[in-house]
Amino acid sequence: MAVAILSVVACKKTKTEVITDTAVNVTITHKVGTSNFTANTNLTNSFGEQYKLSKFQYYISNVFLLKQGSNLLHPETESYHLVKAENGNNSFSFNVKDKTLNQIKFLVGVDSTRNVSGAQTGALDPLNGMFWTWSSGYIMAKMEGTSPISNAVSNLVTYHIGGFTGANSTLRWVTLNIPPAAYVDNKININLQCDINKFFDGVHAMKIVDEPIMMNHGADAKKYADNYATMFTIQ
Amino acid sequence: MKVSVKNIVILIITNLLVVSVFLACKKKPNKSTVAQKIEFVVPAGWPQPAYNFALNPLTNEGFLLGKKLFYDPRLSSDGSVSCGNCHQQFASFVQFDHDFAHGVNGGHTTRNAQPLVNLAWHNSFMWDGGINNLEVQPIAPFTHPNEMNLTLEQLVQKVNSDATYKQMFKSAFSDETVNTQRILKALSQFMVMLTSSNSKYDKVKRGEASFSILEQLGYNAFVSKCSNCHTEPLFTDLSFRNIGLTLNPGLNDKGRMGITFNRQDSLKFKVPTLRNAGLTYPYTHDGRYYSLERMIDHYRNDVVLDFSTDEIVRNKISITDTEKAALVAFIHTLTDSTFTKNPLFSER
Repeated sequence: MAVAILSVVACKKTKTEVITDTAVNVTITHKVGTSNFTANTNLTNSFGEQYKLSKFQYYISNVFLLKQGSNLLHPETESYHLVKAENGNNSFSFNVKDKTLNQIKFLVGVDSTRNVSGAQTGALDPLNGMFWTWSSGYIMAKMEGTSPISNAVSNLVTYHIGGFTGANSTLRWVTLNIPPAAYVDNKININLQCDINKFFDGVHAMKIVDEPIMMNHGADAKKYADNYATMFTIQ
Repeated sequence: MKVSVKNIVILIITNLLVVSVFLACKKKPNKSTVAQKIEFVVPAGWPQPAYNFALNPLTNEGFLLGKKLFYDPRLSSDGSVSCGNCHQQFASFVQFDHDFAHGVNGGHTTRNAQPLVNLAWHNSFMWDGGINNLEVQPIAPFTHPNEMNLTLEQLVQKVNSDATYKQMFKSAFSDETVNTQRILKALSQFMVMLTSSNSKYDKVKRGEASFSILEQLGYNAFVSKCSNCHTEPLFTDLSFRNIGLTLNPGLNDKGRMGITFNRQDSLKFKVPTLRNAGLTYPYTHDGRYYSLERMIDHYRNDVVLDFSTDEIVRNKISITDTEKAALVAFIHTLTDSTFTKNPLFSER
């Protein structure tokens, strides 16, 4: 407390210029290859496997902007977003104090701290169905649907990807350059595009036919995590 | 940073201001059925608790709300099962004399209910340690189809539809909003207060009582033969161990391995506390032993060897008949009736 108060006192003198806020508007749209994603419609992955999704949800957290090469981070506060692809577009906004920032960085998943810090609320409310009770921790990404190629009961396709500790971590950082077109007036409009097919083939080939159901942490969860880290581009 | 006298003066003045603002804001004590101020006390000589009180500051209102939630059977799908059903105070908060606990629709659990005692010091919960924070532990029984069988939405809705609860949430959390987080934090305020540290053993340690000759013999045997795992003062080292129980084929419960997927953790279960163990039979994760004597006999005669069986029990434990009787006498000195009869924790 002493340090905090002294810091405030110390900072007051140096605060001379007024820096205006720059609004960062992040919009997330979902694609399947080159087509727009619609829930419960026929989709095809790069292996030619047909599937339909009723649900594709994942966490984006710890979002911040930075200038390439700089260590100075401009974070969104309390930065936890549960993205629901089946609901259409998802968006969130926050302010930064520097309009020349040119990269966005975020975590796909929920950081390990919040996985061990007890009852959370908002996007992290366990009521959202993205929390494992049997082995405490967040489901970082959840995909649910069907595929004619699935040999599971009712042709189900179910992936619940989780795990936050060292060897089992499915947390993945994503860093993207912000294109010049994003800067409009005093705003930075980031149109994040997520290609759902990358979930199956981004890094590792994870065919539906080989594993239609995966609800665990461990080796395969980490492969799906490597894949979902590659889903994002900025339009 | 150089701290000047001027800054120190500013600091002192700021602190005085902060203190006086607090004093000015302090309301008169609320009407409350708890006469004493709810405070968490670390007994002398005990380690610091694992629970992070800073993220859930204890208040009388939060504690009382947690206690009401704990004992409310409406918070189950058919209104018949409360937390307190399977965690009975007189039995150190286990379901007395049950191997498996009863839930709604005639369902029952697949593991023995554990005592709720000294939870503030635990860094994992359940027999397999799958749950990493006390606050998220109640989600398991609330949502399990064989226990209370609610979705979290239904739980919030049930609590939210009760006017008394809404008032209590307002007292505990500044407004009437009912959500998962508040329900869990209030329950944790109740559970974290369940400290048992006033048994005869504790009194002996404090110099307020003395062991009988048999109890002293038992304590000596305990120190040399049991305390590696049932470490004082919690009487558990909070670790996971395979004590050489045969796999129960009806359950096929591999314990800790189900969480870590590490073969080395096969058949390992969390070391249970011996505090109030005289009240918490049957013992082991599947409640297979109905008396302390039978449990001790396991270590004397029944340890089965598997690759993950703990080194400490691999050669069984040599315990004479006299030592066995003495150990039982000693374990009964860990029964804390001020805990099991404390009206602060009682349903009524």
